[in-house]
Amino acid sequence: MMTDEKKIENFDPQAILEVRNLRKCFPIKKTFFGKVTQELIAVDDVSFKLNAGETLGIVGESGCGKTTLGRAILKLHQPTSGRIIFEGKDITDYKSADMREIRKKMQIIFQDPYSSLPPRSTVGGILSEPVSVHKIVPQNQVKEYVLDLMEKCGLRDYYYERYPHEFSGGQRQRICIARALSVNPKLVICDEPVSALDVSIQAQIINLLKKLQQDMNLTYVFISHDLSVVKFISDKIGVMYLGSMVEFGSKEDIFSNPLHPYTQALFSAIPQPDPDIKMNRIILKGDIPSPANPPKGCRFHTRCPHAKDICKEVTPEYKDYGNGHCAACHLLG
Amino acid sequence: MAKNKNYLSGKEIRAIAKENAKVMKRLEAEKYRKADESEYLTEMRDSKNILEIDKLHTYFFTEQGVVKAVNGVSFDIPKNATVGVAGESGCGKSVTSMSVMRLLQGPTGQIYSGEIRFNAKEKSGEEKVYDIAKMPIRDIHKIRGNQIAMIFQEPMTSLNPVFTIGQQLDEVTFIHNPDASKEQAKEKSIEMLNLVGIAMPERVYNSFPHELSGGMRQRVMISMALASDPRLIIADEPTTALDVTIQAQILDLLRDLKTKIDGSIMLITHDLGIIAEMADYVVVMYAGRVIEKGTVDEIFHNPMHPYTIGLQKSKPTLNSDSDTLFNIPGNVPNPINMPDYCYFKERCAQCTKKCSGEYPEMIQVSPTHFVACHLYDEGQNDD
Amino acid sequence: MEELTNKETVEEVKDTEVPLDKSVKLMSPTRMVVRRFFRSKLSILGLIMVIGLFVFSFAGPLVYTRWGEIELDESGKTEYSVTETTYTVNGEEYTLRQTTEKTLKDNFLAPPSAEHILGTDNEGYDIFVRLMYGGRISLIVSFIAVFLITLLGVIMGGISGFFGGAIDNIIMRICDILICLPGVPILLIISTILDASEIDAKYRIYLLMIYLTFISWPGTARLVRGQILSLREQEYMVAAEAMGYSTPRKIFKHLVPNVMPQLIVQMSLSLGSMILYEATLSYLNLGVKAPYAAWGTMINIISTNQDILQNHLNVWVPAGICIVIAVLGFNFIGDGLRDALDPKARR
Repeated sequence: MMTDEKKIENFDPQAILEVRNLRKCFPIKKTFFGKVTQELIAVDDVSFKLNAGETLGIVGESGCGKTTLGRAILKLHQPTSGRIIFEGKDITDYKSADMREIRKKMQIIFQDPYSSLPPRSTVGGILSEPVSVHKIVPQNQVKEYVLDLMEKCGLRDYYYERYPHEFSGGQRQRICIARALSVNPKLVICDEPVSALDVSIQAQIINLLKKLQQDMNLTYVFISHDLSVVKFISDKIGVMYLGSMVEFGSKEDIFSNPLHPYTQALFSAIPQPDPDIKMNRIILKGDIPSPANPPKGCRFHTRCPHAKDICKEVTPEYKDYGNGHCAACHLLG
Repeated sequence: MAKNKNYLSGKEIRAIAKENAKVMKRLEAEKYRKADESEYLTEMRDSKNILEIDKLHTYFFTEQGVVKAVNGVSFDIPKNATVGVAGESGCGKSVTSMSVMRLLQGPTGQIYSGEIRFNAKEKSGEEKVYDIAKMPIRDIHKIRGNQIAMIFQEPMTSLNPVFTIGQQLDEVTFIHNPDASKEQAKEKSIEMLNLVGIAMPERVYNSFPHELSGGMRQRVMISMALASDPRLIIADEPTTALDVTIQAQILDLLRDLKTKIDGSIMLITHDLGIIAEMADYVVVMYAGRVIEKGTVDEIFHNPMHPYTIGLQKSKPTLNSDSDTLFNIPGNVPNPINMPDYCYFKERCAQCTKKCSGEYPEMIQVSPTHFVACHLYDEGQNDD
Repeated sequence: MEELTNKETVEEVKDTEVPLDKSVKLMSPTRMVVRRFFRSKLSILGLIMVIGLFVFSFAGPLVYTRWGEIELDESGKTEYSVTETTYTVNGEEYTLRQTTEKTLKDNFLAPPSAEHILGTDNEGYDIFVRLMYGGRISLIVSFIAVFLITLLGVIMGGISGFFGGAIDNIIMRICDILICLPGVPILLIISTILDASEIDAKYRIYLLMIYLTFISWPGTARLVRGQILSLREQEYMVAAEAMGYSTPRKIFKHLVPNVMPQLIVQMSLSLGSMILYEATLSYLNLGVKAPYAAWGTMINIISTNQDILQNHLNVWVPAGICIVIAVLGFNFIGDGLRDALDPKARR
């Protein structure tokens, strides 16, 4: 393990997770002999650092690669290139046996609370399985531990014997959260955990996640398409468009001074529950281009209201505009 | 079989099944009966309305018991107005629209009682008022599809994948106007595609649904709904499946269309933001009942029901600064065997002794504002 | 103040008990399946048929002990034969009728009576008792075969579906080859080999069923593979991966239990076809050989004696009815189970 740490250059000891130039491509077309002729670049050259106890919100529309990014960090997809440094160890090339140990420290919560729970196990079974597999507590204390965990996540103890199909979406998402936390992880990837839930339940789950973060000193990567949800939970926010990070910065910076035109458009697209706010909407023209065939130059230029000639040719550089507030846009000079 | 007191016993199940079969048989027979038009002609309460839903009860007769998905819903849709129906999943908002369209899955789903009065306009120009709830299913084509059109949530599956957009659009025109020639139909279809802001209508006319993106398909769905010049468009979560920036485009389009077409829109959504932007009147539903209704200003500036207030507070907005979100505790109650008292009682912070009593009546606060909550009972007694 | 707000958030986070929920009773999953199964009249009929056959075959011989499977009725049988001889004496015709009384050792081809409920066959065995024993063989053999097919199919299909890639390709091509093999001609060859190697008549049928298993597992393997391919994409499998579970645990604790409903349906349907196979083999005199009883063997008697086909229906029709009942019964149950377990039918 010591040798591993030495290899990492410019290592920031504060960061629990560092992603460097991460790329993930999926083959779309192959020749008969398995040579890849066309690729879908789901995540393209994404880098960021995340300190322990912080929450990173990742925002973007469908097909922007936010889910792939989350799964690549957990190595559920093997990255095509780039580095993932977790707790000072470069886990990019870990084999699946080594990953099994790391998995205790990194967990994931999914969007759909219906398909992410095995239908034929009881809640107790679902929650105690990881505990006993990873030997978190001695075998005779597993049930006690699970009941304690269920209470923390706001689940009644008599749910222990019940099956997932008897619960509503919100309660199922609590079970998912409890399952993820059962192995005492340090980092939790929340992949749109509230998108499938009703508004009043959304608020419950977000508050629960916040409380658990305080209690267990968790670090979150919170993936969502909804900027207003991300606002409530994140310290840092990254905005993704067609596989690349177009803007990254602290919550305050992003909200008070969005630099990238896409971020600005996202802000104005959200309908506000106040009939008096007739916002001067920035309505983006056209559709999101297919990630299999992204436009040349700046990927956003096809929809950007301020696009210039240079945007069609040259990919803008991802630069720091002070205080760690990065963006990739030609307009910013 | 394991004895578990959380589960129904065999005896109870048989009792439920017997009871359900009886009611279902009667309602099915009624649905498929032959009836003279006079049987379901009726009068509007207010001629300014296009649709009046009056004490509608729509039940699902499941094996586990009767689910009262819509339990005494009443509201009106005035002419040339947009009415937003808001509520969380399972509150009965979609079932209400399905009842209006008579698209309920039989034999389990049935309109149990109530009236849905619709002011239909015949080709001759004369107006007739039908009670949709009493119409036999064989006569429903008189209004479904040409007088009332529907836009569905899922633009991916609502178009038939084996026909081109043009074929599907022309078909609507032919149904509406059987004498139209092919050229006329195409002309009309292209006009419709233009109306919904499709840049290259000729190309889209000849393409298959899978060649279009989600936003484009939803535009096509809207143009299909408009093609028959309906008097009422029901939009059931028209933007839920779309991305935010595409949603903004579609909402912009709908708002634009509102002024162009001569008809009303019933907009069903869970997103209060969309309601605030689009609707003139708002109906808030909870567990199969209307708990509050009024104009959009009344609902958003002076919400009265604790649920409406909570719903608005728990929606995270970009403008609020607080760190924690307000949340309504608990879950939506299970729809089987609903109690008699206010369904929101268990989740309500302001609940009083009275709330354990009967379900609160609709109380009129202003000419357009109604609320079903015991908190406002006294005010009415004073009047 | 600080403490108060903190406490408040903790309270809000609790999933407050909704007493409304507690008053609501659901239907347990088992009961839902059972109910849906029994809603169809055909599946009830199938169940009655199959249970009836089981009781008849397994409990029958214990209750009705009058005759054994290979116990000849040696009570003897008197046969009378009449010969007529016509001859002419002095222009007059005389007919001589000669009646011979012959006492045979075995009571064969006896009509149904109190002694033999369905009579006896051409050897003198009691047909009713042999039907019971034949049922035993048919049911046991087909259950063993189906069990083996399922075991092999689950293992091969599971491996193929879970790992994919080259392994999947190899296993699926093996399946293709096995499906191409002509079953009956090879059966004939094997049977000849078995005859030559003088295997005990009692065990031949088991060996043949093992061969049947060998050529039948690809169907089950393909079913399991298809199911696993679709289940693998479910988020709970991704969750299991993220949990760091081992591969055998993922396959056998998370995937296979979810394939069970389809497997059960497949098993009950293939029970029917296995019974048919067994009967065919025995009919062709390849399976259970005389003196042991099997339904197919009992029908086979007609091939030796035209007279029995025409005049002694009691010898071979009951065995045919048993086969029809068994196959129909298992198929009805299979169809009923499919409707009951199919998640798409859930409303």
